[in-house]
Amino acid sequence: MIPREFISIAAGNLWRQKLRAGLTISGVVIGIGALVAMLSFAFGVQKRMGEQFRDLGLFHTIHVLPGGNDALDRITNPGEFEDPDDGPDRAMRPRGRSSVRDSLNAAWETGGTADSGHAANAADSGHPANAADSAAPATPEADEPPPRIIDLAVIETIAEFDGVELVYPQDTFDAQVIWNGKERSLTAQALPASFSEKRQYGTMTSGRFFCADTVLEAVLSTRILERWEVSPDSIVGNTIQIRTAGRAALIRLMLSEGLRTFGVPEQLREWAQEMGDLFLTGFGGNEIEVVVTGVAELESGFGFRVYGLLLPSETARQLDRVSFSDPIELMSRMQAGPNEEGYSLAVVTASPGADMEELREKIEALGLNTFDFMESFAEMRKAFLIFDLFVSILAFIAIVVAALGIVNTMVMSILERTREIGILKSLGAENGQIRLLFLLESALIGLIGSLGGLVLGWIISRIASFAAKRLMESQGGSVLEMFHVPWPLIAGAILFGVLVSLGAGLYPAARAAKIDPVKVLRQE
Amino acid sequence: MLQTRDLKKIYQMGGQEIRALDGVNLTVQKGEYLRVVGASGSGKSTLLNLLAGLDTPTEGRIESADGILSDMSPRELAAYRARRVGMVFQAFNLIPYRTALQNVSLGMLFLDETAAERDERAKDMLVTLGLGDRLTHRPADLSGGEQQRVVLARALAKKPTLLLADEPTGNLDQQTSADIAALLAQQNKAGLTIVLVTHDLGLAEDHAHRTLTMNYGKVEKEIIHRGGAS
Repeated sequence: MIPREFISIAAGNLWRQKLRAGLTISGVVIGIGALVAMLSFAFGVQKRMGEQFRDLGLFHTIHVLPGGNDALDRITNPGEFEDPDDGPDRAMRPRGRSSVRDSLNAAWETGGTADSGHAANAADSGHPANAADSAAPATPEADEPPPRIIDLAVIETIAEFDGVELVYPQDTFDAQVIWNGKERSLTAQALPASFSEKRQYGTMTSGRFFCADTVLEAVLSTRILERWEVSPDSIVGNTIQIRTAGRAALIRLMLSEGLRTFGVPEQLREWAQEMGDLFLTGFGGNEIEVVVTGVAELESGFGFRVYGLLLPSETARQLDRVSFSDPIELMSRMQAGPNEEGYSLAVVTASPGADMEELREKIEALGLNTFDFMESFAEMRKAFLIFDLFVSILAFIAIVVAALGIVNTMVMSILERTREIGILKSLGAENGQIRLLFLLESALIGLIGSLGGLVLGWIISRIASFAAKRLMESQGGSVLEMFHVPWPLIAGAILFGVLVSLGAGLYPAARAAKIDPVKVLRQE
Repeated sequence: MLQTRDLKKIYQMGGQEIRALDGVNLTVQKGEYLRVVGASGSGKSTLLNLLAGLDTPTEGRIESADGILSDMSPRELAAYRARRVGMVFQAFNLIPYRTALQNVSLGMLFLDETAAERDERAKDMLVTLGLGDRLTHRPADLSGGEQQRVVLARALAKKPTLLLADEPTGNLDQQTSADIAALLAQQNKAGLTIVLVTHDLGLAEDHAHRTLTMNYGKVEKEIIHRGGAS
């Protein structure tokens, strides 16, 4: 017998029982629809994550951290550093006063949540808890050798390694921007001019990147301008003042307050301050004027961040600056210049095709710690596998309910068609052919249901995507596509629906094959 | 053509042994028209089901040109039914949602023929049996006689070597019964071997070569008709 004939008979049988078959198929539609909708979300998030990793160039990025055990452990084993006295909010926060820990911790938190928009917000706000905004290294343990710091010499050494395309320190600081008579706070970042050519950092929405490391130019982020309610066109080409809280200003302030506290007469205080100013001029200036050359939609995420104001590296070095995030740190920083203590982090971008492992080994041989994103990407993928499994189980429950509907429908169909089965057997049908006929009917239910489920799942994902995008817009974050229906999901959903339906049809088909033609044909 | 040896079919019902067939020895010659008569429960339908390969004997055996039926696998028995045997039932056993043409075509479903070939042969057979204007009618739209002719067309279209008819006129009036009997006789004259089971002693009396009378699962009497179809 030609299988096509069987398919035709099976389809005809379903068509005759439109209502019943339709209801049964709708069960499969709902089950497969739920599966597709949920997995399309999971796949969408994973796809987005992969794209962001790729866009940020994280697959060929190595973060270099100061040497010593402490720094890297913060990244790889954050739980071990949890303070039992701290609340849940502090669970991932470092102890002590090291801003390296702050930055590492922020990197971990950002990478773990895969929420670049949030990370960027936190960074742009200059919030000390989230921003890797300080240049102080980890404090070494008393019985350990001092860790290798990241200074300019180290940066230059790494830059000479084969396969290194770009290396720059994570040099960030709090700053005030004065423009049009208004003074606003933000976190600024010093970057080499070549950064714009060699790394994905986002998109210039207006103007251009600064052209050299020494020019008095700056780039602002679109997010900052949105917050300031300033249009890019109105600020590009204009001069802004950048003011930092330098050590000189702080010492002056502390001297003034200290003398006042001890009741020193005003005239004496003024004299002391004049003398102090003469001494403090050696610390350099804390205010520069730069031209805003462009505005960029800056990408951040997964431990990689670019801040709201970008300055050429040498230009930023002209500023006398210190972080206000921690009073103890402030005192520590006042005792030494930032470059003498080193940077909290350096970012190495490898050239395409470079041997990342070899590069890591070379950097670690300098006594530094490294962290690359492939590992964290793999960990995230593992987490997503668990998520996929979870949503699959939920959808599977819906499919099982649908499968029970199929069993019920097929058994009902057999009870109604016992004589037909007897006739087919009297005409020469084998038991296997009767079984096949009913399995085909089940498979058709599964196939039609799966196709319908795909359409339903796609519609649900579109509606959810629309709602999610509106929500993202309303919250001012980046509008991302969080749903993705790849071909393997389409094929898998159809295959899954058909296989489950076939499984549901096994018992009814076996029952149909066992029907005794003598008994059923004898009945009037 | 067919030979049964000490054929027995015993059912267990409510702890009681029912001997539907009790040692039937029978030979059906090629081209023969054999009539089996008897009261209800005499075992004639059971005999027909065994000859069709739809049922298996408790004891004894049936020898056919294709081999011993009880030794055949279910697949071989299915092929035997598909290729060798045409069956006609008292209750017609047509599939109600299929047209006359589709029902007849269905009879050849398990042969190696294309759908077009099957439909062509089905149509020819229905026209031959006088149902050319009823091809697209469903069983519910046909009279009893027409339905039985569709059943006959279904049985004959696949060109079987043996036609087994179980009370084919049981639900028909006298005239229609006579028409069906005439059709069967015509097929027998064309060379088809027929085993007709009926409780109507008058049916096909003039056409059959032999009549077996069954009682309590045994062949009680055998009559050879000199003026048979051949």
